[in-house]
Amino acid sequence: MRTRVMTLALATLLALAGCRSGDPNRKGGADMPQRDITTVMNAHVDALMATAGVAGVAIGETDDHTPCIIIYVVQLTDALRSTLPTTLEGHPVRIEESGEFRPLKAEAPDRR
Amino acid sequence: MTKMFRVSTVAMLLLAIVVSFGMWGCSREPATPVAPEAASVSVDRSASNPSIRGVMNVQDRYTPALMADPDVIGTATTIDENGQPAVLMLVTSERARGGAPKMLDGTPVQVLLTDRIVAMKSTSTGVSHTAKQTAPIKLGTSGGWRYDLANGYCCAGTLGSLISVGGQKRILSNYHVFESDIVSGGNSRVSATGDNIIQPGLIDINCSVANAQNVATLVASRALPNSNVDASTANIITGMVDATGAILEIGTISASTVNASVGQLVKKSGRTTGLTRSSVSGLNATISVAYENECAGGSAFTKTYTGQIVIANSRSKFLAGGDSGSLLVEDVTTNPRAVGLLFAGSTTTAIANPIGQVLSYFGATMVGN
Repeated sequence: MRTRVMTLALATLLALAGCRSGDPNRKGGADMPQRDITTVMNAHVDALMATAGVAGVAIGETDDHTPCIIIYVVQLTDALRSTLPTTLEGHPVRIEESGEFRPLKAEAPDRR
Repeated sequence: MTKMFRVSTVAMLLLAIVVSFGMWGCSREPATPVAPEAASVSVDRSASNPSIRGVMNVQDRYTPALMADPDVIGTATTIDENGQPAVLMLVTSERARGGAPKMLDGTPVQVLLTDRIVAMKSTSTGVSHTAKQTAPIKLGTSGGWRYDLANGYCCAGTLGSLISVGGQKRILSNYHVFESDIVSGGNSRVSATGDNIIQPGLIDINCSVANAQNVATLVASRALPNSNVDASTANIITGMVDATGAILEIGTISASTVNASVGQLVKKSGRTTGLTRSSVSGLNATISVAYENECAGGSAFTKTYTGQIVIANSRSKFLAGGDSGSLLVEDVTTNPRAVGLLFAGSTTTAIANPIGQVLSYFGATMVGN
């Protein structure tokens, strides 16, 4: 009987482990959020902005309208992706390749 | 008995592994659905076909309920990949697509994820945002600092909206449109209070200022690099600017403002892309923007803003170079409320200062109804 219980427990653990490893948002180790998303973003924004290639950070939504932290990057390389979190304190992170943010004034050569 | 335990144990481990792989698989992107091969069925596709009329009745019956979801923007009767009549739902979000019914009264439902449908007003009305207007001018038009010519280039942006500061009406645009020339460099001058603001901007008159009209005088405030807004204002010259604050293709706006929210539908009227629509995709943004010290000049400083509004700008369709200074407003037909002051972006993303911060900086209110 004890063997059967242990086997059942092992089966459950394996099943849960399988689901967990397949969820890309849990790559960074997701926990239930303890702090609200604005507080979390503010706590991490300086470090994120100091990362080479990061152009901005904001609060947005995932496709299913879950609040998330958006990290805007100039160019999304594999190397940069590997340095950025996929969750922050339990909140999902979305990475968007935005390019650089520039003032949107127009300029043209003087052809007079 | 021992053998039974052994068999049971192995079976359960196998089951665990199978379930484990199954759940691992289900948490990944679903495989691309493969449409069944189209059946070679000839169907009368006109409304005289009783089965099509039947589907139209189903569509009519359910349309009000379906369109109660704001992300469902339309319905139609269509022919599915099997050649059978079906109800078509046009949706603007994955959420709405996922929530769509598979069948309605036995009729199959097809779902098409699409962009929000907008009237191509700027094309049909032929309103120019770059032409020299007859005074008093409407805003949402090309304009800039009269002397914005240096280093072999001329520059321009958008005269976006009208604000009131102590009863004085001023054009609101960006610091980098009106007063970012801070070195004598390529044109032997720097921007200063009293300089003329022109319409259209130099870029739209082949850099020949003689073809422009003075519409306002700069009130240099040097908002950057120290404040959190890329904003500047100019006192209107009497009779040169529509005193109602009307904006091309938007009309008059509300005197009150509204905070941005994620998913909020917004629009703007600007020099380059005219009247365009999009939605707010991010809030409370921290972003860095690099500025030049004059038109086509050298590096001045990099400003890191906080608390900014992010707007979707796929392929620069919403906002492009020259639209800086445009007012971001809610997408309603009559007297929309201001949301932000557009000033920066990329080919995927547009950025606006929250209008509340801008108005507070100047001690101003919007001119509107």
